[in-house]
Amino acid sequence: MISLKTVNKGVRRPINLFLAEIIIALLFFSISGAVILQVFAAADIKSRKSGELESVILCAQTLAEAYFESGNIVEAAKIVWENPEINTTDGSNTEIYTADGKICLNASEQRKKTSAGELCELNMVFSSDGEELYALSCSAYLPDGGNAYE
Amino acid sequence: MNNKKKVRGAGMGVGYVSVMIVFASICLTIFAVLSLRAAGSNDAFNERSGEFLRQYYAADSKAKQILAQLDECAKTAVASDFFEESFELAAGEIDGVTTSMTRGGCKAVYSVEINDRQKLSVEVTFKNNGKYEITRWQSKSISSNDDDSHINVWDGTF
Repeated sequence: MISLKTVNKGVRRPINLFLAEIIIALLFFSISGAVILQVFAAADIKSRKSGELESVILCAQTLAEAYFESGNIVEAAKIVWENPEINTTDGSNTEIYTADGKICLNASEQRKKTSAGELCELNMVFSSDGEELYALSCSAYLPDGGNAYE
Repeated sequence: MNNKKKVRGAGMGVGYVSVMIVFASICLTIFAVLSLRAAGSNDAFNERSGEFLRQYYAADSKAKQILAQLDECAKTAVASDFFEESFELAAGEIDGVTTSMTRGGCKAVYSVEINDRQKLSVEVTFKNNGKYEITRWQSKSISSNDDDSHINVWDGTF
């Protein structure tokens, strides 16, 4: 009887309500937190991929510019990367890996001889873990006997 | 009576925790959505940048093919007695190439479209000995055909 009275008087009711509220709030927070964490994780993955693509695009541009000067992908790769691992499968196809092995570049060259020089076409495909990141085609014209002058 | 008051006043009031949790959740949701959107826009920018680079180098390759053709024309023209005439005749057959005579040689001007807004404008000067100099190799806006376009500024008169 005494305990019933105390309950009815409302002495313990606020504590019970408080506990119930805490439990409901934590439940809500844990559910919304899980969703929010997934969104953060998705943003992080997207940001990492975007950063990787950005560096690969810059790398492709630098390789293309270096290729214009030399007309040789191996020399161009040596300018861009430090100690690249170069595997030439045949005369026109070359596989180049960065020193850390993260990025692989598959380069294929086509050379057309003209009466005045040589037109070289280069197709570059960058990939990471077997997944293609970026592809770029560019050309270089090498005048025979150095027709161009500064 | 005093005890009852103490018990009621000791804890946090009902509702404060819910308000704080809802506020924290809303803040975290906003931050998460903003970071996702920032990453998305950065990714879209990189995609556009990569696409433009592809378009630029495709146009650059076409321009180099035309340069190779012009160089062949120059080499053939050097063998003849009249370099300028034979070069102009041969280069005139290449699509989009305009030639003009200069002192001691010929100038070839052509442009290749990069996309619907930009073009690659090329100017090459060929000397009588067959050697060439690239005097312009730049991307330009298609709309600005007039090279002499300038900003209207005050000329100092009233």
